[in-house]
Amino acid sequence: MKNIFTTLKSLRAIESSPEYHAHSRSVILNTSPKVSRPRIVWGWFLENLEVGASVALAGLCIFLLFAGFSVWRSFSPLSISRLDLAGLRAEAQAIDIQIKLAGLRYEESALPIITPVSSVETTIAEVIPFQSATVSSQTPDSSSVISSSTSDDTTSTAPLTLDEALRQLSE
Amino acid sequence: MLDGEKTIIKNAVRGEASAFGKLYDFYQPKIYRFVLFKVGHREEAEDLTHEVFLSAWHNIGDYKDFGFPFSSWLYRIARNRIIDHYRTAKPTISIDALDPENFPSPSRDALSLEHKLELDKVRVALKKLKPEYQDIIITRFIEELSIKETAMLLEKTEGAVKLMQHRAIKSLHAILSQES
Repeated sequence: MKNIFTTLKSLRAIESSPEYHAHSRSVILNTSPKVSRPRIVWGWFLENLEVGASVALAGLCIFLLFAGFSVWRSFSPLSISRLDLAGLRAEAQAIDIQIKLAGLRYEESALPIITPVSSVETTIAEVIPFQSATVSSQTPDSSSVISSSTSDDTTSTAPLTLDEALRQLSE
Repeated sequence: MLDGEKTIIKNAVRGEASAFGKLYDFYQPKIYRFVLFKVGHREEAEDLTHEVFLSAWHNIGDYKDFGFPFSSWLYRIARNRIIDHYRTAKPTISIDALDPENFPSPSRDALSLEHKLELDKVRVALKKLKPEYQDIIITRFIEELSIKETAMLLEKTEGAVKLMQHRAIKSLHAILSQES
């Protein structure tokens, strides 16, 4: 093993020919190098500006990324948290009342026609308490209205079959 | 290391040809040997060494002293140039078939015949090693660079260099034993 190290060290004496050395040296030194210019103030400013601009841009991107999520969460049209539940509930209740009133008016007109049919009577009987419960404040005497309209309708309209009455009710 | 090397390097970086000439005179034999052991052919080694120093001179303005020896920078240029050379080189004859005259021995006349034969054997065995083992043997045992310098040159840790040099010597020894 020691012998290898000695042999390797002796290889250190290998050198190129002096002619090659001199020729290569002169060829290399006759060319011009790329010399580093002394740093001027403007160059320094530009370098720092570049670095600063890239850092600022990266920061802005990160800010937009996170801010975008929170803005979207706050102002998204799909967001449920921003809905005014109380208002919606009131609105929905108002809509329901109108529908029921419209239905009631219709049912009021349909009442005398379907009186002969026992099954319709039960329907009306169910509706009347409901009507009195829901719209009692608006219509002071619903039974009187019904009875009056009944008397009017019996004179003006022809009697309906059960199927027609049901169809009208469903409409 | 060259006397007053830092000042010489500073002057060379400023484009002073005489300063780079001094660096050339000092480091050219080392780089030449490194390249010669890697490529195994004198003329190719001369061409590549010339290219290494030409490249170093052209890019000396970009050289920055990070605390590593200047030689590390040169060795790295040489190593990269050799890699490029092998990447683009046409198939060549093997090292065994080379004319010994293409591979100059150190002051041939002064050496005994036995020593010359031994040197030739080591050279051939060296060429049979893996490229990274060649780098380790050349830098550590022929050029006697420090572990730190070698690690920097090969882009490895100092521990890895120690391990590799042990394996490289073992491999070289095995090849030499096989041949004898």
